[in-house]
Amino acid sequence: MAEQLPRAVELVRRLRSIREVAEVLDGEGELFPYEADAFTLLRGRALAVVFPLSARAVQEIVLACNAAGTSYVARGAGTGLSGGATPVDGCVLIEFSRMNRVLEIDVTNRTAVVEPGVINADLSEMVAPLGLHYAPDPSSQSACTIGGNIAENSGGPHTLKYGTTSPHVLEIEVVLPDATLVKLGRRDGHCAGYDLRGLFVGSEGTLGLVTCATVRLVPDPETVCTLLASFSSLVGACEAVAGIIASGVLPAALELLDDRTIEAVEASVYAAGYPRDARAVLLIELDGAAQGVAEERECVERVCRERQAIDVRAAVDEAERAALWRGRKGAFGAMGRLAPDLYVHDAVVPRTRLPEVVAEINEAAARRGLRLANILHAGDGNLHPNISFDRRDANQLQRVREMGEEILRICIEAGGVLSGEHGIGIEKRDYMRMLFDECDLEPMRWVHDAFDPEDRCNPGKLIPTPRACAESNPRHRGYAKVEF
Amino acid sequence: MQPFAAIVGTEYVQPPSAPTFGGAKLEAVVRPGSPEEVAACLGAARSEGIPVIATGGGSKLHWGNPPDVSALALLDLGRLNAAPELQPEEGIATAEAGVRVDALARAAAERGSCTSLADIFPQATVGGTIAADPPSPTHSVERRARNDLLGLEVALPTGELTRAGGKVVKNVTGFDLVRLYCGSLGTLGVITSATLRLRSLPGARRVLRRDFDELGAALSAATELMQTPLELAGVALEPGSEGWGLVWLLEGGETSVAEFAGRFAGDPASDEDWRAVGREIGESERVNGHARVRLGARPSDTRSLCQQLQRLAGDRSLRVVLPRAGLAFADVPAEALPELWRETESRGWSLFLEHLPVGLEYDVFGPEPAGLPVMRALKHRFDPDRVLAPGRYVGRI
Ligand SMILES: Cc1cc2nc3c(=O)[nH]c(=O)nc-3n(C[C@H](O)[C@H](O)[C@H](O)COP(=O)(O)OP(=O)(O)OC[C@H]3O[C@@H](n4cnc5c(N)ncnc54)[C@H](O)[C@@H]3O)c2cc1C
Repeated sequence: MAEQLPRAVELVRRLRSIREVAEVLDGEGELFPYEADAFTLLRGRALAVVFPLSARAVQEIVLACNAAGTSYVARGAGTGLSGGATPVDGCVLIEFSRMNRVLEIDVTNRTAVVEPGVINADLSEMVAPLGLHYAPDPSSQSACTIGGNIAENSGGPHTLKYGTTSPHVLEIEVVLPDATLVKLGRRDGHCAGYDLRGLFVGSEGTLGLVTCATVRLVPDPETVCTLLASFSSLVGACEAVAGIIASGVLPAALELLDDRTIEAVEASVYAAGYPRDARAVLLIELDGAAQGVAEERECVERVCRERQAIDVRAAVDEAERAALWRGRKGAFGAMGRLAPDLYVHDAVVPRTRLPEVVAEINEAAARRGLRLANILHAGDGNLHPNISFDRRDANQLQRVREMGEEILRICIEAGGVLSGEHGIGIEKRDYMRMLFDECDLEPMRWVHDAFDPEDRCNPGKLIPTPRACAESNPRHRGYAKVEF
Repeated sequence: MQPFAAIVGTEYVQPPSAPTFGGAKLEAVVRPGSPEEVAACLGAARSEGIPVIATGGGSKLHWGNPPDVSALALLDLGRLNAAPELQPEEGIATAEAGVRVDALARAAAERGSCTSLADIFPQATVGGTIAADPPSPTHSVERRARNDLLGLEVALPTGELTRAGGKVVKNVTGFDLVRLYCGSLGTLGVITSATLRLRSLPGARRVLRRDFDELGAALSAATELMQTPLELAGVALEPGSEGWGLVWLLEGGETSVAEFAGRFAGDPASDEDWRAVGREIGESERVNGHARVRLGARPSDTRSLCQQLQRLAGDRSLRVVLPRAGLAFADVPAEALPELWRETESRGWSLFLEHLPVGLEYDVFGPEPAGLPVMRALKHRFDPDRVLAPGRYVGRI
């Protein structure tokens, strides 16, 4: 320890000397906001937070960390929900928000070249006059960065029709853990050899640092029709989801909000006019050519009514459509008002299992006396059970943790997986064995080892350590289980 | 071959139909009957030091560099062909590696569904198609079969059977190994079964075409077509007896398809016209002394791709062009290859040589891709003893 101290000081000095670094923070108070991302149950303390301005600077930061034998962790906007950007104690946190230029927009090939700190919604806003947009639309899109989206393979309501981040990323410029700069994939999509681009997307910042990316832009749909269907039961709403998909209509989005979510939204500034007496609403968006959309709308309305919808209505204008979406995208914020803390869960099940899975999750929460509200990307079988709680109540916190584990158990028993879009990070790392055997995890370790043999790039995330070394040491890898 | 016989039974270790493969002696064709047997065979291959090349229907077995070993065995996955499990209500289908793609397509169609696996290579299997990740006529920058792959079961040289991905339509649980295995041509592991996205069959389908005297005019029309606001399922240019045909496919709801068909005029054509495009890509008869070439670039570079191919290989060298994908398929005479290689490198295009005339020493994957050192490191971790198709992949990995 005694000899580490000068080395840390030396490292910070070296970081400060890098030309294209905007700033280096290392004061007590300055580091506090960076102790966790939006998953706040575990925290870590970085040695310093550094703000690079160029790929060259990122390379130099990595070289400096390697020379000092210090780990480093990338951070975009810190909206991640699985602790991906949470620092390992004593690491260098590389914050990408200042690398936020859109470098090129190619209308003919419908691509954009962006730095990793570009905010998701800003890119869409910028290309809107060209009739284009960036399709992956996480609810956090007004804050989260493209770099973070790539690292998490983020999704959003429109993933059902347009896919998650991965198919929208063509080429990624990356600083590898040996500090070399390399392009993975190609902007034309014809890369020879292993699909390193596909492998990198969703790797949660553990294989290298994104410094630039070529992403696809999608033409805006000609016509959009947003419907709100309300139901007197959650099962009815889920059956309508199954019915719509069976009809052959592929909506752009098919979102389900349960009664608790409706209640929270309607009591907040995001109030969207969702009926408070409904047990569930479906937000259904159809897009395409005008006549086709009109026909699909008829079909969807029929399916909903056959499944006992109380009401089905379409947004009459852009303002109403925006309001319906504001309610959905603001739902997490609305829930945030209900209690000091909110735990946003994420798991996926085969979509026909949704009614029983949600019922089981609701019962389990009721048994534990927890307040839980559900938002579902129902068309994809992706559910977000959200628990409002107060971390100052140790007993409640314990129940929240147990509930998290129970949600995963229920989903996996139904044939599901641990995460649909928020990733594994530190939140679910030790639950990976609920789904995978040790031999399924080995190839992930090989991948990691091929990119980062020294294990310095966001260590301790995503892959559980092999059984023998894990022991039951809560502090291993530097994450303290903080007592609140 | 005794170790393999002990696993699969002597009747399933068969003499090969040819004595050699790419210069290596072919010892036998081993035909495991279950995923577990595939895994055990890989374990044996490793412990006994006998390299293997996995094969399905054999339609793309010639893709790749010659193996750099003196002897090997073929691992034929054809017996892994249990009836596929189709769950249209969940949007997924699971099939063993040896199931033929056309059989899967038929089974899916009976349930009103389809997958996006290319169904253009005669005899092709699910496992082989995923491992080779070939382009199909509907291939484009945004529409690729690899995006619709959800889960894989993969046998590894450790002798273990492993799972990647899952049986759900959305999943970020750990590294995306599914994308890594797809297109790896069996050099990291052997796919034993796959879960794919199943979509509803489109309610309507229409093929339209326009004919032109020369390629330039056809390309201009293609550009115009691609700028017209309509949802295209596929666009192709193909040489006819006297000129060039622009063929496009519309798919979707009846009303939308009718609406889109009205926006860009074309003569009605048949499904057969569209299938003909697929045959040009999928069928592999060779032209003597020529290399079968796939050249790729950005969609906006399609015209210069074609011009270069015409200049270097003559007017009749082009077989088919997919302008939305920026891909051109051609037969190029051996003597034109050095210049094509140089052009590819200097313009930053991509080149794949599906067939190479005997005696030519090219890496069939074209100029070295960025990231090759990482690819080598991956190969080394997954297959340290080089038992899976050694020497055949990019950079002769
Ligand atoms: C209210 C709310 C709603 C949300 N809704 C959604 C949703 O609908 N869908 C969804 O998928 N997610 C959602 N999320 C989660 C989160 O917004 C996404 O995971 C997002 O992609 C994270 O982006 P970020 O810029 O905040 O990244 P961060 O949280 O800062 O980092 C996320 C991961 O990316 C890595 N990283 C960041 N930048 C780089 C880089 N340049 N190079 C390499 N690695 C990097 C980090 O190390 C970390 O592992 C939501 C979060 C909140 C708080």
